[in-house]
Amino acid sequence: MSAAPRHFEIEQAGEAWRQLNNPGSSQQIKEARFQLPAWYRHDLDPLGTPYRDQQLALWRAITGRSDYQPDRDEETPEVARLDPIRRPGLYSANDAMVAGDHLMAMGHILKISGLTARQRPRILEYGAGFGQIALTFARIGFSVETVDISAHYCNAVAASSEHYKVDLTPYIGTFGYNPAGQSHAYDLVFFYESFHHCLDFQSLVHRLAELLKPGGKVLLAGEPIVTNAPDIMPYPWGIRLDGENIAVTHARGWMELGFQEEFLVRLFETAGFRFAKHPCVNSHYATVYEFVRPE
Amino acid sequence: MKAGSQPARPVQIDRQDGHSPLWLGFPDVDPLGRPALAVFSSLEQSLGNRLLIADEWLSSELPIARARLIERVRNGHRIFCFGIGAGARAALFFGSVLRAERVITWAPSAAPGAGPLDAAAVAMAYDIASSPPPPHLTSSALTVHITSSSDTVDTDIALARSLRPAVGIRLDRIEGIPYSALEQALAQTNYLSRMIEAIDHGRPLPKPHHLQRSWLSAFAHQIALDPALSPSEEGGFALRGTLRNSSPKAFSIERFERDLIRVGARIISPGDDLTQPRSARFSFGSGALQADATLPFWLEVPREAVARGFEARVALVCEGRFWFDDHQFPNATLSVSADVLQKWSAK
Repeated sequence: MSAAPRHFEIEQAGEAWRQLNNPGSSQQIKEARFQLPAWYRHDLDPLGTPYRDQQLALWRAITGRSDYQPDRDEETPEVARLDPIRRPGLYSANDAMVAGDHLMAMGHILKISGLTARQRPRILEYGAGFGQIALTFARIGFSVETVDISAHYCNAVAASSEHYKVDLTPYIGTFGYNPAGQSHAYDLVFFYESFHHCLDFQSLVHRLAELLKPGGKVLLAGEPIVTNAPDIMPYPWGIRLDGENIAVTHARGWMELGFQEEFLVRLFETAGFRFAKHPCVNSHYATVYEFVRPE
Repeated sequence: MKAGSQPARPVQIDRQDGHSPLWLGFPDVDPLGRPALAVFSSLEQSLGNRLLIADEWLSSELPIARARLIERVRNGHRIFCFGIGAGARAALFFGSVLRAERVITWAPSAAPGAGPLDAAAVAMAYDIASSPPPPHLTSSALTVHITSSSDTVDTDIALARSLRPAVGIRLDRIEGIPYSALEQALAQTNYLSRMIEAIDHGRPLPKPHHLQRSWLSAFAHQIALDPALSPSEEGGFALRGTLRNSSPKAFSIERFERDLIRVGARIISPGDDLTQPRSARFSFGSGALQADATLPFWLEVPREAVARGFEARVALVCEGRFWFDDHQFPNATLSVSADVLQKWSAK
């Protein structure tokens, strides 16, 4: 019988980070949960500005930083040390299970995209990181653009593009930036482990409808979208309260949000999308949320 | 490096129709401190009166250059800025000031001492970019395009990171071509024209993958050396040869002169420091070298080299920048031992 998870106060985020890096206590922190501070209000409208401001206040309490700036707080400088061709992120974790999760997710995204070269599709990935899925689409023969706030990640994508001589172009930019410069240019916009870093996801969802061609789709995978996890996600959306996430947020400053599935799906449907869920029993990273913009 | 030691070739056309974008080219600085104009001459045909060479940024104080440029683009509703190296930094700086729609740059961190703008000054322009634009200039979303050469990737990324995050920055890389050869590669291919055409027609920009291959094709040439040496008037030997244009179009010899492209030889004698070869040069003069035509040249092998025998490696050189044979273009070599030279001398 496993022990009940430990509960921490937000003020203990730094201590959680230290314990996470200690092999003796690492697992305990991963299973731990954080409690919301006493000042947190549960009666706010999740679509309203006060709710968003309250989440930012929670982020400040966890990180000790004064204001959230994605170009600074979402940075991953160690990426510059990795070889983007031979050992991009999914391989450099030195863990077959990690690589397997990512590769299954990649396969599922590719398959559910339903695209063929005959359609000459144009694809956009937000928060692409090393852009391995984008690269695979490009190697099939599609035109692919990526947007990431990190210049280091974009540089890695540029290196892959040059190495494989494919139509893959990275842009340094924020969520919602449109490299095409015109509306309704894309057949597919996808996010892999990135949508949950977007604080202004509400406006982004509406923006996605503008980016897509009629019949185009948005795919989300590897996202913390939960159906019943009140200890981690006790609100429609917000910072995830599991121990590892709070510890990492404290140390890195990343915006690590999560979503209740019902809330997020309704948001997309309100923006005019049609929803389908493609679960994967082998890896939750490969569960794909598909949102189609009607013809 | 000080700009303006020699007058720039006047390639300035100020008129445009107000609807098509006005392209502002910001020259880099060549090894003699002059505005480097090679890349612009290839665009005269495709851009016509939509091209404006903004060389005042090299010869005037920045506030004066800014005022002049604002005046010159007064009728330009859409402005695109572009440049290489120091000119790329100017394109970034004035692109922000002039509220350009696009800024297209190659190796913007290169040539750090050239011109009055460093990367920090460029970043500062993006910090203050929220200030209101001059009233006659429209405010539009700025897209920045940075293509790194093979030796400027890391410093270009550092520069990109210093720009304001709201800007979308397109990143590309050219693996096979360093900064020193970039301008010639762009000037001698139709890459820029294809890029402009793509933008004009709303198509995706060409990828730089094929730039090196296009350059090898567009500037294809062969060099042949005559194995017979002849005594020269200077007391050494004259090494004679021919340059053959094996590309599909004529080479402009005037452009060779302007861009400091010559036939050069690196001459090594036994016992010499291999890193410090003696050199010889041949300047072409004027005219054109038609496709498939050949042009004779001769190079002076100095007396000191002759006495000990030598090996001469002959190739085209862009003075102060690069040797073409370092970028997969051909060379020709001639090795002559001291014994053979003595026999020839005795004849």
